[in-house]
Amino acid sequence: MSKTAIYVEQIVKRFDEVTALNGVSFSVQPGELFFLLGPSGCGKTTMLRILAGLETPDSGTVSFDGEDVATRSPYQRGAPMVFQNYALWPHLNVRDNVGFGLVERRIPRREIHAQVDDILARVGLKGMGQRLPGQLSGGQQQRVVLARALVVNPSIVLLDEPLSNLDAKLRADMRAEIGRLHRETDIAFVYVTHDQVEALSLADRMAVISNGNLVGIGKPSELYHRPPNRFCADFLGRANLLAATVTSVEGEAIHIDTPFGPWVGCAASGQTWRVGETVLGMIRPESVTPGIAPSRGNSFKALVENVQLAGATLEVALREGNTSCHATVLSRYATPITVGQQADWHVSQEDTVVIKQDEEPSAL
Amino acid sequence: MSRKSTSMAPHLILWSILAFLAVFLGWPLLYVFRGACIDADGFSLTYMKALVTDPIQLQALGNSLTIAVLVTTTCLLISLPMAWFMARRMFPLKAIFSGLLLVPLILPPFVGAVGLKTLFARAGPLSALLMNIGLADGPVDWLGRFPMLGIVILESMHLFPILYLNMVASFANIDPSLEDAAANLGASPWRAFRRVTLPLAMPGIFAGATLVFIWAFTELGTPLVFGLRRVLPVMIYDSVSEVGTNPMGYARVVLVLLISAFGFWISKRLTRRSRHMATLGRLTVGRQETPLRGLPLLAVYSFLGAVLAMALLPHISVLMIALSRRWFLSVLPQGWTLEFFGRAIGSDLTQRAMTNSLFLALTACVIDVVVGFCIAWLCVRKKLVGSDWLDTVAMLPIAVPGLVIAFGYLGCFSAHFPGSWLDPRTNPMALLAVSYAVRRLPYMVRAAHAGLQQTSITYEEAATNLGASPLRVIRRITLPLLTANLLAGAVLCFAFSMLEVSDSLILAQSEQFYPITKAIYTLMEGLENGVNVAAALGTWAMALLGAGMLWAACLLGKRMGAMFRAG
Repeated sequence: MSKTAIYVEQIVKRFDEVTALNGVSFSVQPGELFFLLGPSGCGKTTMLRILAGLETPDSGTVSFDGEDVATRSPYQRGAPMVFQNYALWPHLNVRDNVGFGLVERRIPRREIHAQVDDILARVGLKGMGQRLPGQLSGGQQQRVVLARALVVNPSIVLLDEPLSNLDAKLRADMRAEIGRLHRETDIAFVYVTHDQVEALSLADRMAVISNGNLVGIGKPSELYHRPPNRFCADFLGRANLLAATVTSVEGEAIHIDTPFGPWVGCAASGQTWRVGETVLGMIRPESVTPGIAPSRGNSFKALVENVQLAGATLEVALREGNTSCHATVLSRYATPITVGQQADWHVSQEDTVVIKQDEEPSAL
Repeated sequence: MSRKSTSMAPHLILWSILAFLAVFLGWPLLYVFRGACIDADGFSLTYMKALVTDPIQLQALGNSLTIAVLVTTTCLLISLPMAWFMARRMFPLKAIFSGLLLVPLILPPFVGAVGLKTLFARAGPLSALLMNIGLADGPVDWLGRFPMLGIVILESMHLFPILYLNMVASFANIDPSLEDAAANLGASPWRAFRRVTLPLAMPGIFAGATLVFIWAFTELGTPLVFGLRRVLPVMIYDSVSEVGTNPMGYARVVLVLLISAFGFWISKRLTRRSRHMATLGRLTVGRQETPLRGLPLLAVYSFLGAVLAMALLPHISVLMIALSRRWFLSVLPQGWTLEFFGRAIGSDLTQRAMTNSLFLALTACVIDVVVGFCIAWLCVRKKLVGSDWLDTVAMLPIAVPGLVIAFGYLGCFSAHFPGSWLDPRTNPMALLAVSYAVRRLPYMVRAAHAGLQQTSITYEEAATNLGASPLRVIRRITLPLLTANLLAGAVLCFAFSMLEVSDSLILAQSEQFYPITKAIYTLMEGLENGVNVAAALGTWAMALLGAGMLWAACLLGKRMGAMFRAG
């Protein structure tokens, strides 16, 4: 059995009065692309800096490959970081920037030369070695930073919002590039971002952080389709939240009373449900489909209040009494959906997620 | 284990620097206070009281204050309009003028005094000129009739660049949209300047004016050359010989120190509110420099021309004295020669003085670079308990006149280490180097401080993250990134140390240890054509210093002004 690449347990970090991290625990497997996702100020960058040893936690443990690293100074951690502002040394050319870590590891000069050449070719910067960072474009600088981290042959690489300084087009390219570089190696990446699209599209697994608490962890599809709480539901995409009451529980199936009638839903595992409990029924707009459910679905009737064309999709606003709901359907030239229409809609039971009511998500 | 050893080192550096400053700054100051207030019978304020009651002492204090006030006022009158149009108006040759305005700083006023004294002398060129055109019917004894005239002119012309640099920096930092807003609400340009710009620039103006006031108040060389002996600095210089026996010297030093500190305290108090304005004054839009044309341009050129001519007059006259064979009752010298330049670097006295000065300035420079960088690094990067303290203490020499430090050294080190290498009477070299270093330390700290603040800490974090130990980070990343700042600070330290006056005059008491400045002073007093040789030596030093300042200005660019900021 292979060891865990990173194991983090009960990390607490306070800055004066502010609690940046409030008992965060997770583990990262070797070679995994792991995301820390959360809004700005949630503590995710602090977590990354603690992994790098640039901040010291008030309590809790961090171990790499099964070994506690608390006593290792930041320069002995061996977890190179891709800084948000790149931190390319302006007085060193590309070659010296990339070779920096190898020099510190006392690698012979000839070998450094070969390894730097190799990594520059891999990130697509062949022949740029003599340039100074100031002479490179944003995307090229990003590649140098990646090369600088990868060249020391680490088992862990830390990335702090690596794409935030790039424009939209370049961001998509670099996202793919980082995915490719990760697949070519067996390095565990810990990637911090506030952009849920970046996380959902790249991550092997991800952790959602809110206010210093870890509020969700798992595979992207799992977290998106079965959010464990309201924060994850809202933060990972758009969500319709319906006030509901639990009427009965049969194994995985949870029966709830909604303003649209009695529904059956499911939930993220590890939670217990009480009959009569006030909960929320969460449905993603894209799972709301026109027509009556074929067999085991949740059907309802609603008034079409508004229809907006968003190109590939139609954004439909529905209302039944005091309850409103959004649906996203694929757009066609001849659409049967018109404003003012009273129509049938449905959601499958797998896409109906029951989540707890509380405003502040509890820490996992 | 390793964590412990890496976090011990900064503390060790912090405390050794504090110890260094305690011995070479704190102790001498305390010693001076003790000397002024404690005699054989214990604590007594008799000597301090004598300074403000005895008519002779009172006259010295009055003269010193008069000089300082006149010099500060003159500097304000020159600098304010100049700084305003240099910051807000565009005109041809502006860059050259802003460079030339720094030139006065490169010559210690007491060397210029040699020149001006000749110019104003009874039988000097000014008298000759006035007699030639019929405005005077005999030689006029300018310096006899207006003893302070030369001193005030010289010191003003030497010190106005400090105030000017502070003001330009202040004006440049004010958001132009604030003035636009004033105009938009109906303020004329003049009213907008008075009601918006000037109040916002006040902190910089006060800071510069305080420095000028203190420098003028404690200037020793100029009154000494002009023979005005009844001013505090000269009276302190005269009490050097009886430092161990007469407490009056200490009392005078304490008085100087108290007045300097009071000046700083006032300036800080008056600008206290400005801390909250700092966030408002940031530039939000690009500045438009209005081009000047026609009559206003002519006015600016004549103003700049007149000030520069005045400011460079002492330098030019020094050069002319060095070149002249004979200059007696004529407008221009009667005959030219290069002989004195040869003699200025040919004699035993001057050669030794040059070697001494070079050695001292280099040593002081090295001490400053090392200590200054460490202080800035501790304050900006480490933020240890006590580093705020360190910053304050290291900046103290700006407010403590050189005269005070030199006098304190002489008193405490000759009393406690008689005959050793720390006794200035036996060998002043060590203390001279240290006193030069301590006095220039603020400039170095400031240069390194600015550099570190402009350099993102992530450069160092990235290096640490890739496996560089703290020492390796400093060597491979921090120092290379700070080269320009450290070099500029070092050049300034070196240049100022080369032509340091008060420490040199007070501490160096035997000829073999004379630095250049004391050699110039001695030459002037002495032998045949001494003034010419002194002027030639001054010219050599001027050239050296000018080259150094130019180099520093190139390295620092617009940040040059920040070097002379107080507080």
